[in-house]
Amino acid sequence: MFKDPFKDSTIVVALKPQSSVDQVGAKTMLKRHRSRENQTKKRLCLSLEFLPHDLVELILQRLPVKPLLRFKSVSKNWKSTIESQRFQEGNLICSRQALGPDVLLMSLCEKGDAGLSGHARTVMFSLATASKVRFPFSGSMFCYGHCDGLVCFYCVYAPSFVMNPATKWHRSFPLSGYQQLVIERYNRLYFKFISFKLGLGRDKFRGIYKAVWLYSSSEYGLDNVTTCELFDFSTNAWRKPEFALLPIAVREKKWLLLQGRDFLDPVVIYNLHSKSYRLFYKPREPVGPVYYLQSLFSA
Amino acid sequence: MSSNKIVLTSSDGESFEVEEVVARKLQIVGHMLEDDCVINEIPLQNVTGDILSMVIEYCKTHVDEEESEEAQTKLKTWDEEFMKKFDIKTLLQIILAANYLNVKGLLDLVSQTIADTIKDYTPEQIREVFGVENDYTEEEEAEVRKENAWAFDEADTPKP
Repeated sequence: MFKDPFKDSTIVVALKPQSSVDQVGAKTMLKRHRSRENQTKKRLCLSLEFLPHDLVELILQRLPVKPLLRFKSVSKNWKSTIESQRFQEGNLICSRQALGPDVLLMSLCEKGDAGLSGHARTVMFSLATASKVRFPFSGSMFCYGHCDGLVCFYCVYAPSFVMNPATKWHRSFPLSGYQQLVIERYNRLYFKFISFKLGLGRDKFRGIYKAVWLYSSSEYGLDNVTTCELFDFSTNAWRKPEFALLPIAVREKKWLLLQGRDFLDPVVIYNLHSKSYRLFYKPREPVGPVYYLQSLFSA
Repeated sequence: MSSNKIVLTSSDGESFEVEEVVARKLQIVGHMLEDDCVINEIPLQNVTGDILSMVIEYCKTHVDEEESEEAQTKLKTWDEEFMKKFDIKTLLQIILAANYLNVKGLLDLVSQTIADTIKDYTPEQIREVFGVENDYTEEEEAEVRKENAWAFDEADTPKP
């Protein structure tokens, strides 16, 4: 006689109706389908009526962006699947495994293309595909690297844009305090300033994207400290976090790499669990903002 | 032990005698064999004979997966050739079978193959092949299409 585990398995096997019953079920299925569609189809694959949605998802996970956007119009259920965050994260993992990094190269501007509305740029998504994407704006700089395929364009004098070149989705975000300071000085004919760079990252703890300016405000006649401005896409606002130390990167979930507000301050590692600090690097001369390139916020 | 033979029977009564190591590639069978019972015949009610024979062919080829790069490349080429034999309807039956019989490698392979096959389909073709009901109103569908208009650029020509 069979022992328990096998008994469980036989139950699973026996869940589906016997073949004769199956055929009856299939016929009703066929009728229903025909009346619903109100048209005769030459051939219908009966078993496909049963393709469970988790298998559909498994297939969709392996599709590139373009067909996914197209298949949103298949049905409401397909649309909500494709738009769900869980699905998109899975799709990102799948495409990384299959194709490697999704945005490899992007040209800053294309020759002979000025003067049109927006700028065409060639984006290379993986080693296999390059395509020309027309951007509806003309930021002259972009954040180094990308974050989950999102790229960020900016120039000091105009609102910045974040864009997904694969879906062509984009949105702008307003001027930061730093940009306003620069514009104000520019209007008073101060042309000499150090140009700081914008960074884009994903907040690991809250799963949202943020843009960050990190600059020395002494340049702008403010107090002699490093200032951090953070744009939170979920609240659509800039804010200046009051850090005694500036977080540079999160390492292995519990380590926080911190830099002092002054450029001469040491870089320290903060252990989120024990709440203790450890010296990481002590600069001997002013070093400017430290970038932890391996992972700025996101993994 | 490894020379032990097992008979797998499909829903339409076809029987396949396979080595136990091959049968174990179907995890559903592997679980049944785990408690050391002597089982010689296993009925698989959800798979027809023609599909089951394809699954068994896959499992036989993948029975000893070697680590060496050469062996891996050879297997990959075999996988590609194997998948070329099937049309979309058969592929969808194989994915159902691979899921039910719990053959991880085949499930990955066939879902990738289906994705590659359907990537140039129109939504209409998808509905037909997957038997999906269009529950949009005409206006709603037009709206969704408009939002993603560029994705329809070169793909509106139906493929045979």
